[in-house]
Amino acid sequence: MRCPTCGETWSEERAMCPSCGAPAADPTPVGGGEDPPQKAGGGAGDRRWFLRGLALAGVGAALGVGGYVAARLLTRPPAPAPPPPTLTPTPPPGVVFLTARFVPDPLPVEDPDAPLWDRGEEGRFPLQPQNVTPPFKATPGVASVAVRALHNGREIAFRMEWEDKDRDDLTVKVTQFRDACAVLLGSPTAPWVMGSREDPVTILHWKADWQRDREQGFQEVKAAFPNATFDFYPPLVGVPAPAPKDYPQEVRFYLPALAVGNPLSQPERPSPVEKVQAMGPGTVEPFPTQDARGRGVWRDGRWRVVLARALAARDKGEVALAPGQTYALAVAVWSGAAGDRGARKAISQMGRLHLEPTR
Amino acid sequence: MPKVYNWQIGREMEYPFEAARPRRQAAAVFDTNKCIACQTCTMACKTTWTSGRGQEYMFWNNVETKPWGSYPLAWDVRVLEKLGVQRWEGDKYVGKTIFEAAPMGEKALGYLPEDLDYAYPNRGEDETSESVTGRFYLRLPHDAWFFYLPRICNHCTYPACLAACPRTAIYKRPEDGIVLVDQVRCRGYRECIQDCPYKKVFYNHATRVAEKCVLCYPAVERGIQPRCMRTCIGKIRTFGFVNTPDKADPENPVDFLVHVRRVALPLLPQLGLEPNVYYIPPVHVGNLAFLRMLFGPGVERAIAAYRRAMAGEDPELVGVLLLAVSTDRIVHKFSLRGDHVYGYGEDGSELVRVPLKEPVQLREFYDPLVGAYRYNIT
Repeated sequence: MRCPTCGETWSEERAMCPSCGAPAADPTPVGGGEDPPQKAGGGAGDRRWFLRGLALAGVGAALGVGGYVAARLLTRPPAPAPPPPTLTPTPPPGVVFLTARFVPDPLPVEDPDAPLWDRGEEGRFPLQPQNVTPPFKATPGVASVAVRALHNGREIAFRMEWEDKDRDDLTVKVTQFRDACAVLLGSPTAPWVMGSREDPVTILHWKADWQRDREQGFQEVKAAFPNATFDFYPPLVGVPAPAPKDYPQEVRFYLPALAVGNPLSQPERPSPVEKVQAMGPGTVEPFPTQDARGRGVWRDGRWRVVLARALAARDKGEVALAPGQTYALAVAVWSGAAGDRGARKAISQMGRLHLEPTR
Repeated sequence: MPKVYNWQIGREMEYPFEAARPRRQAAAVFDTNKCIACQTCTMACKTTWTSGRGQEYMFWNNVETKPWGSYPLAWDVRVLEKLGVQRWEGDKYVGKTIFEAAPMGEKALGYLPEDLDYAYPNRGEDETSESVTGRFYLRLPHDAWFFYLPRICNHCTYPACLAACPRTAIYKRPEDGIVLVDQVRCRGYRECIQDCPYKKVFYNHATRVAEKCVLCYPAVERGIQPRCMRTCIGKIRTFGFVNTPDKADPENPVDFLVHVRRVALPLLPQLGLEPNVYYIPPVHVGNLAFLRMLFGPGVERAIAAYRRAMAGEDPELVGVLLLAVSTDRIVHKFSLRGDHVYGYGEDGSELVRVPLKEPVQLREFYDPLVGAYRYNIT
């Protein structure tokens, strides 16, 4: 049927337009008002019966529609107006395709606001709860994240953009968790979520606290407790005690995780983006070569974050990218204020990333 | 979820991993009747392990006053309140453990303390169960009571911290059952801090990863007791290895206290972790319901056994308790011969012998050599 008011079409069994709510008018036959097809050998008698039936049906339809309209006027609120057309419609759920545009220039890996980002097409990834592996994130606070990607034949950069009214870039207190985001890259067969032993994935993980460490120096006790005092940290005599980065090598074991090389505890932060490998949930391991770059900017309740890496693989097991090829791509967002960390995150479905061929 | 057997609650229970008991399990018995909250254990631990930056607030060993004290703030009350009213039927726990009561998508029922919760390690210190008014002075023992509860990591058979870690960065050593956080693997998610009901995993402010009691494993590996145990000036701590009840060795001091005399009880066994630090409950506490909540249904039996020993009817139990902190070495076996109790090492060699009754020397009140009267003649 076709709606006389808004032009919407729908199947026969409904008496009103699903779009604007207007009552059904005469059915418009397929073929633009031509007579219905007749049976072979049909004569004038058939046509007469048909017309009678049509008249009866018309009366019935009129009665039915009249009754329906009367009942509707008495019981229903007025029909809502159709939604206005939008320029960026929400994509249907399913696989999001993102094309990394080729640009022959250096990529703006430290500037999420660079005009060059307008050259990349935007893919909007709807985010969903992480309820695959405990601990769950039942209610993600972020509905979707907009991703753009550019590559220049040597390096690829992603810009993720999402809404987060709190800026959480300190992880010193017990209850402080960071804002973060991640891009997962894998072969087209990589299983959702986090890859597998046979099909490991490469993840770029940007951390807001690492970026603050990088820009303001390693944040520790004083950052969260400005009035904290201490006599001395043995065997370091004297106040103020040196910052962790200035600890002499022989006393570094007083910061155990730093001494054994845990990347979380290192006071020097060359980059806020960590490049890690995953072979399934709970298996994240940093790659030996940490060459991923990036930077995030939080402004007016919105994060814009760039994550970049070389196309070529630097380490064994790293997913190498090549122009003209298609890969699995997924994104995740952590909201520190909501207690997100580790598996407690908002995740996208596995999408696809296509690298535009170089020119 | 796999089923594992927890002998402390007398039944099988759900746990995220299959049962994998260590080859032997390090364990300790603390006699709360002898603890004076001098905090020597606390300071021994603090100066050994947590004097570094980022560990300022950490006490892997702490001593709190019950009923009001707690560190971190209200750790026990909060987890018990979350769990709700649960029931024992005799020696079998028919309520839910924190694993069985876990909300959807969580490994255990827990909560994450805030930094302020750690700010009062001596909260409720020496506070009595009720205010002491006039009538109490005339009666002994007093109706009002309190006792000290020294706490370290329980190195549980079914650790909730280990279950909670999504990265399996926490592991239980097969050689001695000590539970450790892998300082390389930990990524600071704090799931362990959230799920450990005893709140004995801590977040290091300066390295941003979790740390916990290591039971002085470098010492234990050399047959030496942990620092908090061997510095205990009240000699309340018996350290050794505990077996399951079916394999209890009556010559093993810890097995003797836990399984043979059943005088030592786990802390909050109803949570389902099978903790391996055992407590001799305080005998003077008037509120048995409170003790049953803390130590389970064996409280009356334990108190009766302890009282029997103190009345001189159980020299063997007295002997084992006298072995506590009598040597720095780990006592694996003991025997009572004559008026001495003997402690033996793993190889069967004698480590220590302690008289059941200290010999008393009486000196003359007047010392003619210096021409002075002695104030102390024993």
